[in-house]
Formats: sequence, C-alpha cells, structure tokens
Amino acid sequence: MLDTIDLDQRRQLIERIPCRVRVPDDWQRSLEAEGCAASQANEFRAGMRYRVVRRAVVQLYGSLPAFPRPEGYTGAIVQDFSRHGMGVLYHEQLFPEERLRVLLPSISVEATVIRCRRVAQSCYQLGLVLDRDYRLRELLA
Amino acid sequence: MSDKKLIPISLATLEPSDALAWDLYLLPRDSNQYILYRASNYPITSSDLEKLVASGITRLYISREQRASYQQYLRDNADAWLNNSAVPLPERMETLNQVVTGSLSESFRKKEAVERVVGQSSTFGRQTAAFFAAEPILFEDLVRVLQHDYTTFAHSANVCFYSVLLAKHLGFSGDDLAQIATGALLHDLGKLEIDPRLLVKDNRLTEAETREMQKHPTLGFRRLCRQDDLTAAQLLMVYQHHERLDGGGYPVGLTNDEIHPWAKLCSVVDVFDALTSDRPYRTAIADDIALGIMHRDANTAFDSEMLTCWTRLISTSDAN
Ligand SMILES: [Fe+2]
Repeated sequence: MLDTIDLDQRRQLIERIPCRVRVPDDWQRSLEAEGCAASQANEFRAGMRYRVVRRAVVQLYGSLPAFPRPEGYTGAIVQDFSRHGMGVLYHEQLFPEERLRVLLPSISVEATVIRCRRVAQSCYQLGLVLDRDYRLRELLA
Repeated sequence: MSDKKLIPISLATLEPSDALAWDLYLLPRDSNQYILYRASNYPITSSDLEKLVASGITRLYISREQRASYQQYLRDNADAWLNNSAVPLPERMETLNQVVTGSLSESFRKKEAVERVVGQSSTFGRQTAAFFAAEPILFEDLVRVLQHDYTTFAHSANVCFYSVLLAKHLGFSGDDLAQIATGALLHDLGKLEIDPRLLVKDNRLTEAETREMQKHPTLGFRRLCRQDDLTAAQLLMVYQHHERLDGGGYPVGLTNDEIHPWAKLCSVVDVFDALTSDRPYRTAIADDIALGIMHRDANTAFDSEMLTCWTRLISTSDAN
C-alpha cells in the first residue's frame, strides 16, 4: 500500500520514475526563484503561497467514469504550495475532480484537481486542493 | 372565456384519447369569440381530429393555467407528433422548440438534480436527432421558430438544434447526432452556478466579472463529470466549448487537435447563436454579418471546415 511507503522508497521512486514534463525556457527561469516574497516565515500565513521546485511522483486514482487512467506513477514538478493547495506541472491535461497522490521526498499528500492550464506542449499547470491543511515544514522537510 | 386566459396549442400535437386533462376551446373562422369545443375528461376520437383538420382548423386553445400539464403531455407523446408527417414540418419544429425550451427553463429554474436534467436532456437529444435525421430540415425553417433571447435555456435549445443540423451535414452518424444534441443541451449548465446578475448585465463585464463568467465550463464539467450516462465527448463539449484553436481560449488554453471535434462544432454554433440573438448589452446581429465576424477567426478560433459547412448551410437557406 502506498500509505506505507517510507521516505527511502519515495526518494527512490522520485529518482527512478521519468518526468515527461517539458518546461519551456521562459518558465525555467521563473522556476528558479524559491521562497516567498512576503516574508521569511517558516509557517504559512493565510493565503500565502510558497514557491518551491521539487521533483515529485504522481499517482492517479479514483479517475472519472468517462476518463479512465492507467495505473502507475508519473513524474511531475511541484511548483508552489500553500496550506491547502499545490501547483504542479504535469506532462498532460488532467480534468477537474480527478484525484491524485503527490509523492514528495518529505511526504505523500492526497489532492483533487481544481484547475488545469496549458503552458506548452507536454506542460500543464495543475491547481490542486489538498485533502487537509499542511504545515510548511511538513511539505519542505 | 377571455382570450387573455387562453393559449393556442397545435392540433397536430393531439392524439386520439379517452380523456385529455384540459378543456379545449375553438376560435371559429370569422369570429373573435372562443367557444368550448370539448370539456376535459371527454373522449376525443380520430374522426373528431380529422373533422377539425378538414374544416381548416390547425389550432385549439387551452387555459393558460394548464400550460404545465400540456407541456407534460407533449413530452410524453413527443415520438408520436414528431413523426406525424401529416403535420407540416415547421409546425413540428416549432412545437419541439417549445417543448425543449419549456422543459429546460423549468428544470434550470428549479435547479433540479443533475441526474434529472441529464435524463431529460438525453430524451430530447435522442428525439431531436431522430427528427433531424429523418427530415430535410433547412436552416431558414429552423431559425424562424427559435427564440433568440439571452436566457440560458433558450440559448441551450438553439445550440442543440444548430449542432445537430451542422453535425448532420458534416456526416455524423445517427448515434453521434443524439449524443451531440444532448451534450449541446448541457453545454452551458455551469451558468446556473454563476451570479444571475452577471448573466443579464446590460453593459460590459469588468475583468473580475469576466473571470467569474469564464468559470462556467469548469463548473458545468464538475457538475456532470461523475454521470456515467455521459460520454467523454459530451463532457468535453461542456468543458471545451470556449477553447480556441490558437490556444487563446479557456479554461485550459488547448490548441488545435487537443480540442475535441464535438467541442469545436459546439463552439461554431454557440458563437453564431450568441451573435444573432438579443443580448442585454446589444441587439442581435444579422446572420451574414455574424458569419463575417466569425470568418475573421477561422483557423484561429474556429475549425475552418466546420465554419465553411455552417456558412454553406445558411447561405443555401438564404438563396432559397
Ligand atoms: Fe458557454
């Protein structure tokens, strides 16, 4: 079961699973800036988004009846997160209401897609809402 | 009976029956005095109906309060009156439009459960597709009977009829036509969750209001996406009908082949109906001017083959 995947296994998965996202050049630079402009806070304030770039692995589950998804893991790039949301770059379009698990080195979180915007070919920006609120240090650890 | 309390119904929609639920009135030729023709719960036979037709009567009248009951009767008997070739085509088309807009307006206003709206749309989708597949329907006949106001249900019904007409001429199969009709009826369902004040605002929307309005494809998709009686293509009509080929659309910004063909088709007739209907902030634009505007966006917003086919359909009608 995925819930029992420990830190080492998550790290191995993230290293092993290829990421098919093709980030365009002009986005590459914006991905390099990390942190939060507002403060050096080590905890989320209301509405605060923290910019961070992390390789991650996504597992889709609970797909929609009309859009079945193959089982398995796919590489992705976490772009930012807030207390209850996450921005992720993915290689294909996902639909609102699709459910997924995002495996970071630090933690595995469950989330629902609420929006998807095309950035470029093989690069889609997903807006996720997390199943529960997280603390910044849980996500960054 | 005062004429203000009566509404006309098409004789063609009545089936011989042991009893109808409403009193039927008649307006004799050369008279403006309505008379009771048949009291409710009194049988009406096929020879009664034939005699009326023979005497040149095409309409009877019922009390306005009984409109809902008559609408229900029309829904229950749609297969019979739609396929009755003795009734002129425009009359059947007009009745179909009244039934579809009447039912949609009812269920949209009541915010009925999504399962019921989908079920009802599927029935109308199937009936509309079968009717359009069987009859030589022309744009000019169709456009005459449609209501061109800005209400979501009138627009949805128009987009349904236009979509089926275009899909038929593009060579889609009968099964596809029924599914396309249903998807088109549902394409703007998400607008039910948008502040109604935005839908009727009589001047330009602010940036924030535009962003709010642009949520409707996603809202509609979220509402419908767990319905296992809808196909992926139908859901994509709801989700992608505001995408543009050049990637400048919403909600995703997809391009060309990433947009489902049914969504591209929906987009052509959706914009056409929007331009040629009265809106709170402007009056309707003539068909040829609307097409001129749309052709500027051929290949950037619209699939040019579909737009050309739609233009040809309209031009043929104009020539007639
Ligand atoms: Fe729309």
